[in-house]
Amino acid sequence: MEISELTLLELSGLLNSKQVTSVELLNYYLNRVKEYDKDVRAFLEIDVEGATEAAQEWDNKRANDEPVPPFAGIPMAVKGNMADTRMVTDAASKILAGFVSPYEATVLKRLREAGFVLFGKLNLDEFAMGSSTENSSHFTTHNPWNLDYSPGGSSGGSTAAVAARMTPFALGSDTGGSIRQPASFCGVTGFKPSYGRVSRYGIIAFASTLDQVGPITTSAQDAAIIMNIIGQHDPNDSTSYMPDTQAEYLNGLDAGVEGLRIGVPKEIVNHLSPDVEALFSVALAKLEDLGCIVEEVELPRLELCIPTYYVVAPAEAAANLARYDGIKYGKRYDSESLEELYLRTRTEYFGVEVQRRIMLGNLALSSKEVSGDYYMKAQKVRQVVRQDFEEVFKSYDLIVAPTSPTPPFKLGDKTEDAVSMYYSDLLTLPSSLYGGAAISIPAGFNGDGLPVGIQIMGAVFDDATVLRLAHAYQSNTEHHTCIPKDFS
Amino acid sequence: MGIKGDSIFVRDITREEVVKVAKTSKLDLQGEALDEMLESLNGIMPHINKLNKVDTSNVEPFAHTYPTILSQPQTPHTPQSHQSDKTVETVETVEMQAPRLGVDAMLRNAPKSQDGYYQVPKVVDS
Repeated sequence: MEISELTLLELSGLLNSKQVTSVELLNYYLNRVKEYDKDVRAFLEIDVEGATEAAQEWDNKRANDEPVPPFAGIPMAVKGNMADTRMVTDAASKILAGFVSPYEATVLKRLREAGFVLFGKLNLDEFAMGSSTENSSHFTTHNPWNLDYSPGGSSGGSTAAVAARMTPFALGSDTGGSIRQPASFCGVTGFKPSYGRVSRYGIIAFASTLDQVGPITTSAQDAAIIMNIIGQHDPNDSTSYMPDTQAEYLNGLDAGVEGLRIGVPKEIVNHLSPDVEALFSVALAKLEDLGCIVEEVELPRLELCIPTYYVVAPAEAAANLARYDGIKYGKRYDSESLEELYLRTRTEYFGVEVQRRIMLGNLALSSKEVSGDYYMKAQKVRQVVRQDFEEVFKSYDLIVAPTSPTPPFKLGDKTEDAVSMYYSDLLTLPSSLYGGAAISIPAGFNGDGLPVGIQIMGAVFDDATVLRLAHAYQSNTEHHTCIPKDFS
Repeated sequence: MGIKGDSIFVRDITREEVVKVAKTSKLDLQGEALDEMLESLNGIMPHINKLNKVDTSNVEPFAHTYPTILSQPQTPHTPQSHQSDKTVETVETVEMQAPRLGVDAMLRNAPKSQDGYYQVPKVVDS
């Protein structure tokens, strides 16, 4: 079997039985990047020296039979909005060009301590604002299943890299679907944990009540492995959840799904393209085969998630992005006066979509006369949406829907129309707004050979049940093992 | 659907308002950029108006993901129940462990600095 087809457990087995060294494994993936990334363009930067050094250290320890963590020596790459201390962390924005963080994100520290070897940073829409990676200030990433198509976004670099098996797994971040939608587009597994499960310390902030980091992998089991490491309390994040015991995501993964009650929102039907609808029906039949009880549920306010999100997220973004002033870090547009410096720096170095969201956000936060107080209205509707979902979760264990209403779209197709791009987030926004766990897993391919994903949504902090159903589905299907033919 | 109790009034944004919000956003929008922003924001407004479909007269605005979820009682039919009725602790009561990084580390990314300070254009006339 090719190394690129192996799971994290299998890679760990190879390393621990000394059939392969960590440096060899790293070089294997670096060679794949060299061969394939000229077409895919997922990587923003690669740290060969730092990664080789770290891999060599684990090899030395293993050679001396010193104890090492089980996954020591497995390479990884992460989205370019996560701070490490060696590579640039610019969130694909010109305003942070060249920024190297003086400290390390908690998620990267935890994975490093668990033995993973960080070797690259991956492309994204500027400040994670977008659904196609076309808003990156560097370049656009292409979908490995068809290079004319978008990999989705904003974590499109991460999902494309995993789809082309240029890294065994990656980290993404998700504010309104930025892990799940690109995972669906690229035929990989993308998990957005419940809000508060994973530390946001060292992640460049977009919308602080919505942002969550999560794993992008080739299976739900690999996602659970990564969650066991990063899904723990962090004192450096004031919204980090503190359960009584260490959170555990792997135990119970194999417990089966017989009798699990699944709700399918009936409101989604009008929004799905025919190919997505057809593949979704097949997936639901499979869940019934596995013993799940699948029933329609009502979520009448589903569509209102879009206006709610596009008020709340920009308002938070406008506040978070106020810190880019051209003085403390990043780029500066030199000017005679301080006011001029602020204006020129932010206008010159923020991209169009980022400026639009700052404007939208500040508009929402403006006086009642200008905004009509729609920020407050949106926060009330968000509460109603949460109550709707809580009501469903009283009778159902999980909610299942497609991840995206459509299959991947062509690059350039939606860049002109912001609203149509916003509507592609319809099915991923709800769990961001109510804060629950959700995963996108591959569910097959449409007539054009493009992947389509289904999404499993759980109640807040019920990450384990979401992973359990995803794992059960993947144990009985093979979509998640498919690799694009030019990259196998 | 009719307009309900606590509806908001969403209307087209005027050019003057966009100029004002741009100023508070510290963005220098002029000419074509300003026209495009105005058009784009007014393309979004009708969608925001859809929030009026819900009567939220007696609804508390959303403030945090935790509180109401965790005050829900356990649901009897799900053995793998995910909800607990305990209070949630976050770290506001616990000391943060973030390291102090020191002046040099913080200034390393500053576009301009001098003598251990950020350098900015003169702001006070002598």
